[in-house]
Amino acid sequence: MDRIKKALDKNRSRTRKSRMQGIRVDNKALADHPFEQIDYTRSRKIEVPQSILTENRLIAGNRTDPRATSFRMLRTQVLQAMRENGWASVAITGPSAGIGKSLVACNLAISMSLDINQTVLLVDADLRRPNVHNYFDFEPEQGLLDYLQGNANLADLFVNPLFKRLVLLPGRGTTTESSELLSSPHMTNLVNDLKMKYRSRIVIYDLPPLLDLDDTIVFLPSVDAVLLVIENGKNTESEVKRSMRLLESTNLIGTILNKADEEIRDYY
Amino acid sequence: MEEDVKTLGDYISIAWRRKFHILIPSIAVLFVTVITVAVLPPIYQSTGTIQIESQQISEELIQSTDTSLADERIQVIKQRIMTGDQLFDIIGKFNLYADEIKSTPSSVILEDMRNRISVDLVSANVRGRWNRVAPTIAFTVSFEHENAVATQNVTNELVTLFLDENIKARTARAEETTEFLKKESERLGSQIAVIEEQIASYKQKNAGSLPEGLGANLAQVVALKTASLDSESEIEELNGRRKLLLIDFETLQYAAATGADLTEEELQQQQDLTNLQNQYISLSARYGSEHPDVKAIKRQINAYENEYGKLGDIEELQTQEQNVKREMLELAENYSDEHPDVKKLERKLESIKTMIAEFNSTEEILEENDSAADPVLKLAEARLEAVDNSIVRIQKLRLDQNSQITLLNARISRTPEVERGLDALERDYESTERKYQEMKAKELQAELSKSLEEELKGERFILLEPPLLPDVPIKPNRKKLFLLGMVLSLASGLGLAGFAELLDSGVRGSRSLAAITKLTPLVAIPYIVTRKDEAVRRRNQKIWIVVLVILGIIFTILVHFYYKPLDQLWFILLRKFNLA
Repeated sequence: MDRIKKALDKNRSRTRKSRMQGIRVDNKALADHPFEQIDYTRSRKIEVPQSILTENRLIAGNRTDPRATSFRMLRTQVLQAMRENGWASVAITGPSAGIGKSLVACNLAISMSLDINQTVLLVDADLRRPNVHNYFDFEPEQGLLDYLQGNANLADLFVNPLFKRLVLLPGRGTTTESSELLSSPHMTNLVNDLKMKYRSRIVIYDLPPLLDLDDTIVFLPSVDAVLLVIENGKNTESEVKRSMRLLESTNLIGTILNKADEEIRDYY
Repeated sequence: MEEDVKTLGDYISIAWRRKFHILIPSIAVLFVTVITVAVLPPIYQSTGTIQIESQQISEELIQSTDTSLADERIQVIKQRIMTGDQLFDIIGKFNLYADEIKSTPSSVILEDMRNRISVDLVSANVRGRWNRVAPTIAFTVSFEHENAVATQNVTNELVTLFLDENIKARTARAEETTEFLKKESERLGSQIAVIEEQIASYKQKNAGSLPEGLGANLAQVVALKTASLDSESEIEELNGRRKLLLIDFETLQYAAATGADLTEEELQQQQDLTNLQNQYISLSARYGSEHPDVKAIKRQINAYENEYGKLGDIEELQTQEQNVKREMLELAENYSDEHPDVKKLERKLESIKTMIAEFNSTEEILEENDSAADPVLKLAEARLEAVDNSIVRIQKLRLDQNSQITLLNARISRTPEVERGLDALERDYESTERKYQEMKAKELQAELSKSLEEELKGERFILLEPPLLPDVPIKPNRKKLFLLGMVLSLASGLGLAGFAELLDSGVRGSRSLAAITKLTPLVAIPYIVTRKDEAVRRRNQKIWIVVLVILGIIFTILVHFYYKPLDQLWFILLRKFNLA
């Protein structure tokens, strides 16, 4: 235990240092970083119209949709917290499966990418049941798993949907060794790479359920901050409490209540 | 947990979320309710009111034999009517339970029948005079049944039974009382007769000693004593007179005897003979006539007489006889006949009498010779004789009086004893008599009360309101039942929803999440409804509506053809809910 903790702490301090540098770079030259340009040109472009995205509940990009408000609220709060603390990556998880983690991650990513100050990379880190591509309605040729297994180049994985400042790193296939892979040097390298290479970006990791698998616990030390998604009426108090305990040593930005009954205040 | 306090909005959202939990049981219960309410058979009730009319003639004049409370009597009659036999009579008479009677056990039918009959007391609100319970002034008899006509008929029958049973019970009681009292007074009457007889025979047995005769007895004793004293003085006076007459007579006799030339010798002889005779008398008195000495003297006397003819002094003998008789009377006063002195005197008298008889037999011969007796002497003799007779008579009278006095005294001394016995008997008699009188009075009272009951002048039941043919069923109160069903359906729905909510441990709402995590959620993202969702929902809705409509039509058709035509059903329903 002690050893693990030391390793974790070491890792964290290191990532923090590098992130500080990244932000500085960010502030200097944001819009037309040559590296980013190259990225866009290299990444696969998919043209999925907003209407289909809306059908897939990705409404954050639709400015006229009052339901996007909540995601903008979320975006603003998360960005504020990240800026204050100089965090560059954020993981999204939840106590159990099927509670809308991926949907929240996608919508948040879209919402963030609409902010002209941000470019966003959304990584589908759920190696068991990758889901992000379903929302964006495309079939990935290669996914994170292929990369981790050494079957693909990182650069080939990126997908650029309709939104200009959004890049996706989708998942594909499934494995039973997800936690091992997530803690493998490959993954660590990838995280570092993403951090180093795409400094001006915010990286969002869509993670598997916190309580069902150890994947998330293994991976969490690699990210700067965490968002916890709770499904309204489905996750019990004890699940929430257990999740909170597991996330005690991380930088929890906050919780998100999904599928809430609360009325959306429509100002538009 | 102040976060757990729910606002109205929370409740509304819960209700919306649990709409199926609410709706499905609600609709189911409502459906069942409507069916039940519509199908339940109407139950009619007919009621007869019977007034309890108190005795019309003041109770101070005639007390009824039946003083039990009306309530009690009604209960008794009710029990009598509620017996199996009676109820089955009624069931048979009006053909109730026609369908059930074969398949259902009779005890169940009886129980049901009893439940349908109700007897309710109506009491006045004034307090009773003797007790705190309000007096019952009337009662109602009701019967409920699905058939209005049967209801009326049975109630009529029950009311009639009540009225009849009451009269029967009351007259029977009055009769029994009268009968009992009559027997009792007869028994006392015969007892009195026995005592009377006892008294009569007792009086007869103690006739002279009765206390009421005491005064008369005492007076009689006094009178007799006076009379006895009179007699005594009279006897004394007569004795005095006799002595004088005797002197006269002896003088005359003597003169006559001397006139008949009696010699000295003859006189001497006569004197001797007289002495012998005296001796004989005294001896025979002492020893009896069979004594040798007496016999010797007798022989001497006989020898004298043979020698000198019949001589001797007849007067002397007669005087002696008189004396002895007097002595005997005197003795008889004080001694009984068995006393030795009296016996002695008797014997003396007897010997004197024989001697006189002997003397007379010789004298007769002499007298023929002596026919020329002196008339003066004869007169004196007759006088003497008359006085003697008087003496004897009065003495006898006195004797009578004395014995009567003795008798009366004995009677008087027994009187107190007799009186005690008589008193005891009379006391007996009196007490029995008193009882008898009382019983007689009671009997009379009972007799009156009986006729009171027979003429229906006592407390009686009057049919105040005969059972009517019910036109409106009392049960079921369909409106009320329907309302109840509605409430029940709502309650079941809400209950189920509440239960589901209770079982649901999921965290709900930002506030409870914030309470658990101690961290306000960044955002609450609503469920994102897509057009597809919307379309699915609409399609489902449509399917539901179609299904319901089809089911409704099928149900209606079934009702129409298999239960009742719809138009009829409509009017029936209207009537049942009292709307038409």
